[in-house]
Amino acid sequence: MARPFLRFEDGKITLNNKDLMVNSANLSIAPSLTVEKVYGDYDESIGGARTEFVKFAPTQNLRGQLSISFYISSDVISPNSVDRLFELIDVANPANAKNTISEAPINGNIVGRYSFDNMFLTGFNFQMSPFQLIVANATYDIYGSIHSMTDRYFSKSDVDFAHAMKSFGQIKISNQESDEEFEMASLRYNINVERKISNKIRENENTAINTYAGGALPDRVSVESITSEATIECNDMIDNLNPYGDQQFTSNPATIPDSAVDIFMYSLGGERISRFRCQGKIQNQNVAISEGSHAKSSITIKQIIK
Amino acid sequence: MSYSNYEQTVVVNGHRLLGVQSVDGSYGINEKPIRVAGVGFIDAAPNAPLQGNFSINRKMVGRDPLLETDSLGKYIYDEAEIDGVIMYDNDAKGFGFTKGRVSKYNVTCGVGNVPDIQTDITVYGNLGKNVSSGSTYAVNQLNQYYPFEVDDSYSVAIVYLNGSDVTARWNDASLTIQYDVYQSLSETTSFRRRGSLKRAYLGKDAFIFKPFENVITHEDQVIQYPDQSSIKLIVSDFSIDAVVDFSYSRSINVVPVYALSKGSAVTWQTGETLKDPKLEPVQMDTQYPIETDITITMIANEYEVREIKDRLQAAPQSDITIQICDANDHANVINSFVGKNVRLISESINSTIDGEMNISLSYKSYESYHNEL
Repeated sequence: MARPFLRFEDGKITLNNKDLMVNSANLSIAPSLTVEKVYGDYDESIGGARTEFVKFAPTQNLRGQLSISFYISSDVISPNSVDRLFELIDVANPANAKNTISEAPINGNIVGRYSFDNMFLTGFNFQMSPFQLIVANATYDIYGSIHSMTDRYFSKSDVDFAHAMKSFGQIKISNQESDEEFEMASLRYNINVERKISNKIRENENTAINTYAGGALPDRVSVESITSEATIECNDMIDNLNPYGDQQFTSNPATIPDSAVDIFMYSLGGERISRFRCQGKIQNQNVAISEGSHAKSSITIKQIIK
Repeated sequence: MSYSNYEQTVVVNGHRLLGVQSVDGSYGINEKPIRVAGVGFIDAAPNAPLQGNFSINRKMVGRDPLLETDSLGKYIYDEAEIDGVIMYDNDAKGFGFTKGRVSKYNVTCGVGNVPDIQTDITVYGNLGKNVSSGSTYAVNQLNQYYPFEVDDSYSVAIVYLNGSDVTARWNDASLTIQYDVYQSLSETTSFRRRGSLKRAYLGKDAFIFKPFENVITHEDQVIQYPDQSSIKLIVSDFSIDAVVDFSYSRSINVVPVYALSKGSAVTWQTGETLKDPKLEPVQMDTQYPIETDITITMIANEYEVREIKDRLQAAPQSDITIQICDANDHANVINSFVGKNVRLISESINSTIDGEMNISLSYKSYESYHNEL
C-alpha cells in the first residue's frame, strides 16, 4: 500500500528530463485572484444599493515557483554537473551566459509526485565557506498547472561533490591584486535573470483555455536582464572608494579598470569543476564589529551581463 | 610491539615534562552526510576543520615550564601557540602536534597528596606521527658521496648545499637542514669534476628524516617535591583556617578564524597545487575574559559563613595567593598561583558524622586583554 506522505528517498526531482541530486526543493503554485463586486438591488433601509461579492477572477496566468538547493558534482555525465544543469559553461566569459540563458521553456520537470512544464530560470547562486560542501541554489518561475505522478527514485553513488576545501578565489580591486594580509572568510556568487511575460489577447480570449487546468500561458517569457554579483566576506574594506565604484589613486577616474572576483570551483577529489567570474564595479561594502566575534567586512561587486 | 610507561617522553614547547601521569591525544574529523531527494544517503564529506585534543595529567614535582610569564606578568600560554610530542621507542617514534593552545589549566591538591596538574590543549595545526616542530634532516651516511674527501685522483673536494660550501659539516655528519631547505633540493645528489677538482651537489637522497632530533631544546627542570607543610594559601580579607584541599583552574576560550584559499587563473590552468591550502586557521585569538576559579575547602574553626545579602550588595574583592614550595626549603617557591580581585561566589558547609565540619569557598575572577582589573 502506498504511503500517504512521500518519503525523502522516494521524492525524485527531475528537471528537463534529467534527474538531479537535490537536497531540498520547494514548489509553489498560486493563481492570482481579485475580488469582483457589483452594486446590488436598491435597499430601502440605506436609501441606495449595497455592493455584493460575485466571484474571484484571475488577473494573470497561473504562476508558480520552484527553488532547489543542490550539491554540484564534478563529473560531466553526473546529473548535477554545472554544464548540464544551467548551461553556464565558462561563466568567465559573460557572452556565454548571455547566449545560454535562453527564453525557451524548460519542460519535463518532476518534483516528488508532481510534474509540470513551462519553467524558466530566474536565479542561481552558491556560497563557499571554509571546510563546507558548496551548496548551490536555483530558482525558477513556472507557468501552467501541475499533474500528479507516482513516487519515483533513482540510484547514485561515487559522486565527487564540489567542496570549499579544494576550491579557491581571487579578488582584484581595480585590477590590483590583494595583499598577503587579505583573507576571505566566505564567497557568494549570484546570477539574477529578470524576465518579462507577454500574453496575446486573442489567444486568451478563446474559451478553450478554460477546458484545461493550466489556463492561459504566456506567449513569450523574455530575458530582460542578466546580472551577476559576487559578495566577499573578508577582513578588509576598500579604501579610497570613489563614486564610480572604483578604488582611486589617480587623478583620472575614467582610466581605472574594473574590479573582479574569480571563483575556481574544485571537487573534494581535486577535479576542476567550473570557473565563475564577476567583473564590474563595487556596489557596496561594510564592516561589522560585534561582541564575541571578529570584525568582518563585506564587499559586493556587480556585473551587468545583459 | 608494546611500549612500557617508562619508555615514553612527553615534550611541550621544547621542555621535557616532569611527573607525567597520563596523556590522552585524539583528533576528530567532522563529516556531514549527503542526502539527496529520490536517492537518500549518497556519501559523507568533511564539514569542519581538523581539531585535536591533548590532555596531560602530571604530579607537580618541579617548576612548571608552561607557567612562563611575560614582562607584564601574564601567562605566555594565554596567547602563544605551543607544540609538543609524545616520544617512544627510544625517542625514534612519536605522536606530536603543532599549533596547540591551552584551553584549560587546572591544579588540585588535598592534604597528604602532591598537587596534580591537568592541562588541556586544543590542537589547530597538524597532529599525528612524526609531527614535530623540531623535525630535521640529517646526513645520510649511506649516501655514496659520504664522506666526500680528497684522494689520489682529486686534490680538492667540495660539497655544495644550495650554493653554499658545507664540506666540513658534511664529512663530520653534523650537517642538519630544516624541512623548507629539504624541499628545495633536487631528488638526487649530482657529481661533477674538472681536472683535480670534484664537487658534489647535495640532493634529497643525501639526507634522512630525523623527526625528533631537536625536540628537546631546554634543560630538564630540577625535581622538587612539595609536601603539605610547604603549601601556603593566603586570602587577603581574612585569616584562613586549616585548608584540607584547594583547586585552581583557568579556562581559556580560543577562537580560530579560518579562511578560503587564494589562487589565480594560472593555478587553475596549469593544475598545480595550491601553495597555501588554508587547512589551518589564519588567526587564533583568545576570547577574553579568561575565567579563573579557585575553590578552597577548610576545617571550620574561626571562620563563619557570611550573610549572603551583605556580600551581594558589597561584592567585595579579595586577592588569593597559593604558594607551593619545596619541602626541603620552604623559601624556595616551586610554583605560585595568584587570583587577583577574586569575588566569593559561593560558600557551603558540610558536616557528617564521620568527619569534621568543612567549609568550601568558591572564588571567581576575570582577566581582560587590555584592561587590568
